[in-house]
Amino acid sequence: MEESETIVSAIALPALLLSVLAAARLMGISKRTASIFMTLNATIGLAIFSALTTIPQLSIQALNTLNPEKVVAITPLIFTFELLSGTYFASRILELDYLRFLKLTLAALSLTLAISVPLCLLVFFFYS
Amino acid sequence: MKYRIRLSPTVAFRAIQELNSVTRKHLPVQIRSIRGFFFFLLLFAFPFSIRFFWAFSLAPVPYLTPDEFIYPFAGKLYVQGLASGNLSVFKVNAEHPPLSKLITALFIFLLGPFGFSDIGALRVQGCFFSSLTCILAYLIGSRADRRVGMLSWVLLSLDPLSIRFAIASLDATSLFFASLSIYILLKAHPNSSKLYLLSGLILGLATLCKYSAFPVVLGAFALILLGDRTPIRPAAQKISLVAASSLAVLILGNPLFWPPQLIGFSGYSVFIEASSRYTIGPGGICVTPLDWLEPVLKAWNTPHALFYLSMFGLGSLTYPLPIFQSSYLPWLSLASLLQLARRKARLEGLRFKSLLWFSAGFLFFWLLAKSQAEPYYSVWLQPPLAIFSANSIIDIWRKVKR
Repeated sequence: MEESETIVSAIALPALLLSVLAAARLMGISKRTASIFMTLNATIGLAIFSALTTIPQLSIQALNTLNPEKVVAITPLIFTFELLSGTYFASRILELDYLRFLKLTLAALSLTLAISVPLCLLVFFFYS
Repeated sequence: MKYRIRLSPTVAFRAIQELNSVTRKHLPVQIRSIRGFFFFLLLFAFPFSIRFFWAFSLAPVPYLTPDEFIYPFAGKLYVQGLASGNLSVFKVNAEHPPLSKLITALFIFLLGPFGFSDIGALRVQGCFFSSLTCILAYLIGSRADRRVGMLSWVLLSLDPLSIRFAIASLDATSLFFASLSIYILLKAHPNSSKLYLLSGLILGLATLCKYSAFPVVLGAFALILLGDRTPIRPAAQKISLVAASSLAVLILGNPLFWPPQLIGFSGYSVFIEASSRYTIGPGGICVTPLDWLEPVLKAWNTPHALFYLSMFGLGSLTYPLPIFQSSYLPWLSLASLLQLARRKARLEGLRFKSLLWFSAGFLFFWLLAKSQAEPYYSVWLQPPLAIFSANSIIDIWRKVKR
C-alpha cells in the first residue's frame, strides 16, 4: 500500500476529533457531553437514513444508478437530513439544547473542513 | 367475623411467604445447580437448534465462499505446522488471526468421526458460538432485570441475521469472546483491576479470532466510561489495562507477531502483504470512505472530480451494511430511540451502555468496512441491539401497566 492512500483519513479523522473538542471548549460544553453527543448524532443520523434506504426509490441500488451530476446535487440534501435528524434525536435523548448542539455540530464540521482540506492539498502537492 | 375475614388473607400470605422461604432455604444445593444447568441448557439448545436447522437443512453448501473452504484447510494446516514445528504454515490466510481456525480444526477432529464434513464442522462451530452469544445476551440483559435478559435472549435467538450468518465462523466465534469481554467489563467493580484484566485477556482471545473485535470493544468501553463520567485518570488506566492485556494475548497467540529470529521469516511483513488486498477503489485504493476524497482533490479541474465526488458523497452517507433489510432488531431499536426522544425520557443504565456499545460497532463498520463490507459483519451489531430493544420494550410495558 502506498503511503499517500490513507492521507485523507489520517488528516481528517484527528482533525474532526480535535475540532469537536475545540468547538466544545469555545462553547463552554464539557468534552464528555460533546463526545457522546457527536457519537450518537452520527449513529442516529446514519441509522435513520439507512432505514429510509429500504424504500425502493431511495434504495442504495437506485441511488447508485443516478448519474454523477444528480448524485452531487442529492448528497447535500442527504447530508443535511442526516445532520438535522441526528442532532435532533441525540439532543432530545441526552436532554440537551437542540440549537446549541446544532451549532456545535456545524462549528466542528466547518473547523474540520478548514483544517483538513488545505492540509490534504498541501500534502498531495508535495507527493505529486 | 369481619376481623377474621380481614385478617385471613394477610395470615395466609405470610404463611405462604414463610413456607416459600423455608422450602427455598432447604432446597438442596445440588437440585438448585441441576435446575440452573437445565435452564442454561435450554437457553443454549433453542438458538442452537434453529441455527443448526438453517445451517444443515436450508443453507446451500458452500454458502460463504471462499471462507468455508479456506478456514478448515488453514486450521488443519496450522495444527500440522504446530505439531511439526513448522511455523511458516501461518503464512496461509495471514490476513486473519489463527484462533478461530484452530478451533475449527478442533471441531473437525471431534465431529469428523460422526460423519461431519469440514464445512459441516465449521458450521457447527459457528452455531455453537452464536448460541453461546445468545446466553451472554441473557446474562447482560439480566443485569438490568431478568425479564430484560429473557427478552434479549428471545430477540437474539430469533434474529434472522444472526441465524443466517451464524455460519460465519470467524465473526461468530470472535463475537462470543467480545460479548463475554463486555459482560465482564459491565460486571467489574470500579476499584477492582482483576476483572478488567480478565476482560482484556478475553478481548485478546476475541482479537485472536478477528481483529475487528479490538476497536469495537475498546471503543465501546471508552464510550461507556465517558458516559459514566469516570474521571479521566482512572478511565485511562482501565482502558490501558484492558488494551495492554489483550494486545499481550494477541502477540503471544499469533506467531506472525513473533520475532523473525524465532519463526524464520518476517511475520509482520506477511501480515501487511496479506492485508493489503483489503483495499479497493480508484486504482485499487481506498481505506475509509473519507479516502474517496483523495481522487476528488487530485482531479479538481477535470470532469473526473465530479464523478469521484459523487462516489464519495454516497459512499459516506449511506451505511455499508444492509441491517434494516435483513433484521427486525434495527427497526425495534430505532422505534425505541424515537419513542425515547418523543417522551424525552432519561437514557441511563444498561440501556445507555448497550446503545453506546452499538454505536462503537456501527461507526467502526461505517468507517472501515466501506472498502469491503461483507453483509455478515452485521452480526456484530445484533447483541447490543437486542439488549437495547429488550430494555426499551420492558420499560414501555412497565409504563403501560402502571
